[in-house]
Order: sequence, then C-alpha cells, then structure tokens
Amino acid sequence: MAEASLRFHRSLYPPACVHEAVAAFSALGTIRVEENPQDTQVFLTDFPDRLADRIEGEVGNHVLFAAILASRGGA
Amino acid sequence: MSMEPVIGERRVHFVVSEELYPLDVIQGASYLFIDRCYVWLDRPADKQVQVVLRSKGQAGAEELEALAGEFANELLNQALRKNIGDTNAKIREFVMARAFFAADMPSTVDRLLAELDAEEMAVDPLEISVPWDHKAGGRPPAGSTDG
Repeated sequence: MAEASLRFHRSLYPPACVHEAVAAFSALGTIRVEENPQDTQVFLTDFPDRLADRIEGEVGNHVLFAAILASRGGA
Repeated sequence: MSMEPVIGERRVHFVVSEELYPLDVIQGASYLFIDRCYVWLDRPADKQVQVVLRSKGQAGAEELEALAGEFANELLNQALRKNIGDTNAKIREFVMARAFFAADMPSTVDRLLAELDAEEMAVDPLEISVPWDHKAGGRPPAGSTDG
C-alpha cells in the first residue's frame, strides 16, 4: 500500500480547497488532514500501489484547481 | 532568489517573485499546465512562490528545462493579459452595460415619441376614421363613387 504526505501553504491553498480534494480522494485510501498555522498537511495512506506514482500529484493538482477556482470567485 | 530552474528526477522547480508576477498570474499559468504535469506551489519566503513541475511520465533534463521555459513564457503571457484586462476594465464594463441595457429596450426618447404618436392618432376632430355611412345623414361625400 502506498503512502505520502503533502503540505499546502495557507496563503496559496485555502484549507477548504484541501478538504474538498480530501473528500474527492477519500474513496481510494485513508487520508488524514492536519491544520497548522502556516499550512495544511495531508497524509495519504493505504492507497493501491499502482497509484503510488500518481496519487500525490493528482491530489495536488485537484487542490490547486480548487484554489484557482476559489480565487476567481468560483465555487 | 531567481527563476533559474533546478532540475531533479522528473521534476523541475524555480522561484517566482510575486513583485514581478502577482499570484493570480502564477495561478493562471499553473492552470494551463495542470493537464501536462503535476504542479505544486509553495512559499519559501514572503513575496516568493516556488513552482514545482513534475512530469506525468518519464522526462529528460532537456524536456524539463523546456517545460520550465514554457511556464516562464506563460507567466509573461498571463501578466500581459492581466495588464490589458486592467487597462480596459472601464471600457469593458461600459460596453457590457450598453449591450445589456440596449438589447430589447427602446430608448426613453423613442418611448415618449411613440406615446405622443398614439395620442395624436386617438384625436380625430374631422372624423376621418369614421366611415361616411356612419356619419349623420348617411350621404356619400360629393365626388364619391361609392353606392
């Protein structure tokens, strides 16, 4: 099982966007979120090994897309 | 700090100054690269944004350097778009307002003229709109071929 951790700086990624991505990817594995004053940390565990190479990037792109949408007045 | 790209395994990263490229410009460029690679943003210092581009498949140093170069060009493109957008904001708002308010609505002057026309048409002191056989006497006017 694959695992990884990601860190999203609050000034670049609103925590709500991180939570949105966590909700979207939670069906694929276990995700734990830790809110810090500077950033939001995401711990990905129990993901299928065949996703190991991609899961970090996919979650990161999802959060980035949500953050861009939010900054432009989107949902 | 500089935009000099640092190349690693399947990834390239560089630092962008927010004083040169505002965050929405960096986001705009990042958005265009989401389908080609994994994009990460980080803040190593105040007013600095680190951009990390990680290829979705295998990529050599040249490809990664080219990717960073394309991103830098896209930053310029987005900055220019933002600049033009800001400069033309008032004109754009004016054109949009005109388009919305003038589409199906006649102007106030047109509406008042139409009202005056309608009032004038309603007044008929010579009873032009009344047929002669409905008028008193029922005689056709002189020279009429009717009847």
